[in-house]
Amino acid sequence: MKTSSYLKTNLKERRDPPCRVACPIKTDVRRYVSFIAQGEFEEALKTIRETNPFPAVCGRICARPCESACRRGEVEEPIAIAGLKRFVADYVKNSIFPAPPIKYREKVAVVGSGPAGLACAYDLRMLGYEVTLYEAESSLGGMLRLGVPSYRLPRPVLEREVEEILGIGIEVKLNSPLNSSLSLEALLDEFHAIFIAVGAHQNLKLGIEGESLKGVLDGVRFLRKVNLGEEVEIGKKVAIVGGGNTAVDAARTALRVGAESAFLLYRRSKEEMPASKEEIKKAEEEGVNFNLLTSPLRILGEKKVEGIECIKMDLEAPDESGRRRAVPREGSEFVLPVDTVIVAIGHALDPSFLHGKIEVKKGLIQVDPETMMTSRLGVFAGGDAVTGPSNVIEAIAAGKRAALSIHSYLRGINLSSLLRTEKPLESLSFSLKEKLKKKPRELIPTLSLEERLKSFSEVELGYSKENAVKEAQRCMNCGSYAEVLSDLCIGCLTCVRVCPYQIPRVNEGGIAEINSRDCQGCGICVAECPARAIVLPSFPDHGVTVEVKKILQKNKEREFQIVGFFCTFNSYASLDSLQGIKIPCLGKLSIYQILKPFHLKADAVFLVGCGNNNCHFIHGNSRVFRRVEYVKKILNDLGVGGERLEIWNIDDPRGEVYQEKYEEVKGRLRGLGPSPLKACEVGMS
Amino acid sequence: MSNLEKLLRAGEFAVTAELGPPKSADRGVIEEKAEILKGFADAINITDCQTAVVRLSSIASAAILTSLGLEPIAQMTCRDRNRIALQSDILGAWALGIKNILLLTGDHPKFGNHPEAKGVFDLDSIQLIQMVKQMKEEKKFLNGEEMKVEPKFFIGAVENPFAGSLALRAGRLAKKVAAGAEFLQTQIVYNLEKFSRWMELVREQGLDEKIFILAGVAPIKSVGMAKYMQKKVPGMDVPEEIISRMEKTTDAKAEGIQICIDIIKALKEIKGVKGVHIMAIEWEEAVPEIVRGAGLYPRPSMGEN
Amino acid sequence: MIVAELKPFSEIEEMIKGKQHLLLVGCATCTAICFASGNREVSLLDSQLKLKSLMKSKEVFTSERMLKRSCEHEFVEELGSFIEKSEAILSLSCGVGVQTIADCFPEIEVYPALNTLFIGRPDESGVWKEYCQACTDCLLHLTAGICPIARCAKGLLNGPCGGSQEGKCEVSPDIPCAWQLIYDRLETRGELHLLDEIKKPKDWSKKNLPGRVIREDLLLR
Repeated sequence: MKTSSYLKTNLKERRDPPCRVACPIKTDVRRYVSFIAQGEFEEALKTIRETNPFPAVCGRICARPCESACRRGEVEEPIAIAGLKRFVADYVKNSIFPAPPIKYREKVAVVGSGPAGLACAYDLRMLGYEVTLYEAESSLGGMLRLGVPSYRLPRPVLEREVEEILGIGIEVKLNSPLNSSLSLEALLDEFHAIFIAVGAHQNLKLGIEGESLKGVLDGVRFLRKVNLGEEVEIGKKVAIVGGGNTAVDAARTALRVGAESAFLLYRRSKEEMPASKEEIKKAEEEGVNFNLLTSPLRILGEKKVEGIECIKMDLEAPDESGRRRAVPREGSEFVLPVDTVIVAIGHALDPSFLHGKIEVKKGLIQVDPETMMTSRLGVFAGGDAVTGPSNVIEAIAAGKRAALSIHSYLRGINLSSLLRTEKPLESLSFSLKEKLKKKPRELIPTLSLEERLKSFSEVELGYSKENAVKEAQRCMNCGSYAEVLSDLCIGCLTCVRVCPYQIPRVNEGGIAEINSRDCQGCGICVAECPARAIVLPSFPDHGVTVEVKKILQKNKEREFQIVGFFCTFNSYASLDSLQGIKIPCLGKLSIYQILKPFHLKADAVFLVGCGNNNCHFIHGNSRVFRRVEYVKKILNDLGVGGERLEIWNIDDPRGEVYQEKYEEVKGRLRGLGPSPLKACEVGMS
Repeated sequence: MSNLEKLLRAGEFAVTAELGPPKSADRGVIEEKAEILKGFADAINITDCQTAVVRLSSIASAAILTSLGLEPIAQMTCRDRNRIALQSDILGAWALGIKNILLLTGDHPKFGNHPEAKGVFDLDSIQLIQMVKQMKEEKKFLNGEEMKVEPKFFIGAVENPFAGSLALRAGRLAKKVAAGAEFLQTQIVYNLEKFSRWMELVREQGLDEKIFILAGVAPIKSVGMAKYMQKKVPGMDVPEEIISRMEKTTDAKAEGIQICIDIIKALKEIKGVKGVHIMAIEWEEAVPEIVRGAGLYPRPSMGEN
Repeated sequence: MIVAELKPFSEIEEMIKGKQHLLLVGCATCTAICFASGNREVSLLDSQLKLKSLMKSKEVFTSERMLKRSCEHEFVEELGSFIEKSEAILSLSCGVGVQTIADCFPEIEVYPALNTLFIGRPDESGVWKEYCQACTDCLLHLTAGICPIARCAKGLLNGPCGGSQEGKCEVSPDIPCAWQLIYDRLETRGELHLLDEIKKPKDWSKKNLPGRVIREDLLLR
């Protein structure tokens, strides 16, 4: 009859929050966002680092599939997940981990120190392998250093993160490209497995007339030069051909290195552009002209570029694959007078270094999609060299997956046993969306336009602590839904009646059902179910008891033992001096949870909920108010004294009132004296 | 036949008064009050543990009045007796010489001095009226068994014209008439206008021809009492005009009695009203003054029967 | 459903005086639904007993069991193995459940932890009201589906009484006058004629005896 024993056996397969499912490396987004919401920033960063060695990098330049999947976006706007990640990565200092012990004798070489290589090296080292990282350049980071402009990813941020990764004990060999002096064979002699993540650094050509004129630049090389601080020659009027991040980066960079105007030429419309929407928006703000539905025909000029002839394109209706083909509109040719053309239509791998030792097709290293092993036993590959130009999170994911695959290869473990299968929650139902409170996204401040174009200073300034917490508190904790233990359910309809979102229903068999898709996990039904047949796995009954015991233990030398329960959503104040426990909405606290500290001989219990009409959910604070009144009556009947229990609902985001209320309780106890339960000799568990 | 019944049947405008028995076994109290009322009322109601407060039994008090030469109307409620006790007491009352009986539901025990008591309500007032009528006319108990000597009561009922919708109340009166009620005493009338409208409905249904209607009246002792009745007593309708008359006066008691007299005079003019029932509980001294003031003194006598 | 509520704690304390090993038995039927005998209330009573024992420095050992229905011996017999360790049973169920447990285990004391109140229903979350008195002779077809026996303070069959005010009972303004409700519903249905007939005094003869129903077709003996 105790619910805890049912938990293990009777819970159905849990549905996962869509943010986590969407994340290529399955970061526990919900968990770290919830830590931020509580002001537990170090815990948040620890959670991120469980899967991601690049929190500061990804906090800035991630493609954010999590945000596209975020169900808050169905209500108004998705949680600014990357922005929050960046906040904790910047805010928390000292996140260097000690080097884990070497557990295995097998050694692994990683070739390429971009995000894929570094992630793979990091994970293998964490698993207990000795790893050596080979880098062709004189510095680490791959495309993160050579491709991404520093106004999006300041170099000190990158360097710190790379240092942290290496800090766990990874050997690095710089200026060590794979070539005749360092052959694959030689590496295979020394290492038991190799991971190749050399990226795709060779610019693709347009293949049109005039491409060899002076003033035609290669996008990858242009960015690389600027990023390495080398001189670049650039005119005043620049055309950039392409629609990906490289093209947008090149356009914005051009404006920062002397170009007066930048024209981005793309053959389809803005919706089809592969570049990130945020970056497109910023490019527009900075004055990049978007010549959409435009395709270059030839580059004009005698010796150097004088203009580019283009043609307007029309989009056909979407074909079966949903893609809209662009076709030239006859007679729409025009000339754009420019002095520089940057070609950024894509880049690929230069496979020459492999000397045909590994199968390569259309500029991509061929791998088994499951194991990422190449045609050569023990040689794995991933990242842009395998997929073509992609983004940082996909590269990290490839590196991580390769690490697991190498581990399974070296240990003879079934790879699929190492992978987590997931089932995402469905979209919110329409009727629920209507009931949810709208909370607009906290804006991430940016540098003024003027300041931006003057330098390569970082454009996004990041959240303040207050804004980060507020933003994190918007999270709906998807997937932390309540569940009915059907053998205990008596079909009484209590959950149906008390749910502020009208989620539960009683099925034809007379048993309550809670729709995992829509349940917000406010916990009101859990506290009020007369059969104790509803559980919130994210808030187990015994969890409160454990916390109460900790508090009482920690404060046993104090004048009084007081237990405070505070609404997580009300503030993120530190509770260290207050003998307090944070509860994500006090509406979750059941009558016996409120009584529990008295069993454990606390002198008083007090609760501070959020202000009226301010509940993160709906009226959780007023539900607990009634319960407290009921418990007071019980305490009076028992002779313990109802005045040892108090609740206040106060809207105070700074949490200053906590101290005040704590002192008030202490003052009250000076009049009342210690709990009458203290005198007794019988111990209580 | 009771004196009251004879008067009413003879077309006289009847006057009844009310006497509340003491919360003790003191017969003297009844004798004193009887002395005051004697000659000023054709019959005197004896309340049956009014507002569920234990008092000297209404039948016993009625028997005392009879022995003093006054004519009582014994009140009987459904609250404290089941159908066995009710029939037994009905037989007993007749045997003691009581001739008028007023049958009502009774106040809920909650209002009395024994709120813990179980309310009986085995019958309701209409069923009680029907039962007494059956005993009287068919000489049968409720179960159909016959009796040799029947109680031939003049059967009274009560009605409150001011409670709930007029239509509902008039309908209920029709039911009481159908059940066998022969005379009716109403709730105290202060709101003449509303009472007149109720009487109109009663006349429309021809009920005034089937039952003798005695309108209830009561003198007000003070402005405080008037306000209390207006606000606190359920089923009581005291118009503002009465309150203001009480406020303006310097002699409240005299004004209260004058108001009562004025109301009686007005009631006499309403078609279908056959008499008045003066409720001056714990102020029995006011009754002679009112009866005189209303020009209803002396009372006619129909002689012994 | 049968509606019940927990007895005042002091009364329970008095009943169990001197007993140290108690078995708390809940019932998962009607009285659980009205928050008197479910898993949650059993735990809460247990919690109160333990707090009280702490205050008296006198240890009390309790165990909790839930029964599907305390009113049927097959379910109650499941308690068998738990009885041995207990000096008394505190039954959280209606009076029927308490008696069934006592009948199944006549050797042990069984205390009622609840007061059984009435047959009723929740009108809203947290509010239960009486709707039936099991009078043995249903007349709801004559009263617009509103029971005057249970819902009129006097149980009148030819109501309302003179105490009906503005649709409320004389007993309390919180109680609607059942007869006013009946009148109003019949009026909207155009069936006021149902009130014309004087309803005869009710036959309480069946209610005067311990109630019983025998279905010959179902007998196994």
